[in-house]
Amino acid sequence: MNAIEIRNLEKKLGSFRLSLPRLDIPEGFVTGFIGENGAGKTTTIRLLLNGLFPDAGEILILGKDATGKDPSFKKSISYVGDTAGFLPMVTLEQIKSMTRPFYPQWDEAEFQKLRNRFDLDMKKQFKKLSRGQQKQFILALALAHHPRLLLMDEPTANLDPLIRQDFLGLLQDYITREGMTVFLSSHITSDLDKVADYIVFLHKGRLLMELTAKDELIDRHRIVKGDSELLSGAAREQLLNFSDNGFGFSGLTRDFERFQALADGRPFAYDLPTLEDIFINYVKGGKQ
Amino acid sequence: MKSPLFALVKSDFIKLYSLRRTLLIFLLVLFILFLSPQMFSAGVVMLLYGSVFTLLAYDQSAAAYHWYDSLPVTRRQIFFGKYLFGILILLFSCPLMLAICLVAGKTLGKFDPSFLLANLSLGWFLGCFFLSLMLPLTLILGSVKARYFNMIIYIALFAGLSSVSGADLIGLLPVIGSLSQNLFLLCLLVPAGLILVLLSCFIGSAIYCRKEFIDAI
Repeated sequence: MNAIEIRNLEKKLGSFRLSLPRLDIPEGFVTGFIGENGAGKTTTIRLLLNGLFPDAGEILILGKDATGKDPSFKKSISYVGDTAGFLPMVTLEQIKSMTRPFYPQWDEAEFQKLRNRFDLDMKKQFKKLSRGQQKQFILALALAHHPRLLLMDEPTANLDPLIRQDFLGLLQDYITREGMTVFLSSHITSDLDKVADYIVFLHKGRLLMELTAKDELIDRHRIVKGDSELLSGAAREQLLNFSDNGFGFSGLTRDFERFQALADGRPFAYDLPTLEDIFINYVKGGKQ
Repeated sequence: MKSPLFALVKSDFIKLYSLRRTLLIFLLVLFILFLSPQMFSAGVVMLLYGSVFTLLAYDQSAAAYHWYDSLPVTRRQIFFGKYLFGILILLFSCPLMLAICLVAGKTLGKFDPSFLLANLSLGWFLGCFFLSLMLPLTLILGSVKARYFNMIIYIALFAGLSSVSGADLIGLLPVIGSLSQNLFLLCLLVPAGLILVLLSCFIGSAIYCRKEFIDAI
């Protein structure tokens, strides 16, 4: 079953247009939604939350229409965004009291466990927390009602590496334990290198790459480096994108065996790419 | 789950409580009112402004719609929740103002008990009028733009009043005085205010339900 199903989704905001013909997010996995700033990641997530209304198309979340008048599907989902929307002077205890009544499956013991893990002082005002602590608190709120789907919009932006690691570690624990689905938008691809099962690339409001298993994606691509003369032949056609400084080149291929054959015994180096390598080369190469 | 409407109203009261230090300035209104009990209606409106609209302004500066969007509630429920919150504040403000005016009146000898009902019903009606105008404007347009509309309304009112000569206004005073003693008319102000709020609520909610809050792509 898919946690999210998007069909022919269209949304225009000023000069920006988001167009997602088809996108299925499988249940029980972490899907990374990668795109540059302004690619439409936040717009997509706000459309999923029914905070923005589509011009056309359908969105099903956990089998229910997310664009309709019935918001009950939101009882099974949580949202962790870059902006929480809490008043700065409200205490953590007050925010919990405000949020808790909306979720019948709220688990106070689970919340307290997370609160202790993050060492959060519930009497503190939200504004008095560091950026990392704020995110930890929002995550604790989001997980305390055992959501089936967690929507995250740039959750690790502006966090230091230690907090980010802890944040992602906790996420992995929950996914393993509760079979939760995570849809995580980010331009920090190193986070997704660690936690994502599937990847979607978004560029200028369009799908640059449809849902693909991350390991398979990385496995079928190679970063190749070598002497510039290698680019003179047909091997060049196998590169999605490359940079050549006259002495040597570096590029990304999605058919390593073919590239190897076309290199015809000439020496070159290769390595597994990161998601960032793949995304950047796809954007610069302008290929799908 | 308890009614989401009550949970939304409760969240507004929690937020209002967290703003208590910021709202201390409005205690000044109560003090002024103590000295001038005839300003009952203005006191009610000031308390509404201080609580309901200050809270809305803080909500907007914190981009609270991110939180509201994530909740299992409809836009209509959010909108109705704000109205319910406003009405509750108004229901709290009227007796509070009345109590202050009574105490002040007795202490300073400035309050005429015959105007008690007139003040109460007029305070209620003005509060309802203010709510029905400013609440949808603030929720739909945002605090900053709504303030401009507020200014336009006041300018229009003052322009309208200034077009009437001073002699005419003085001539109207006995009429106003007799109106304030007409029990039927005064009682009519209570349902009239409520109808105004209900009308504004239903018309405003139709627009608010289609409103998109945009801050980023």
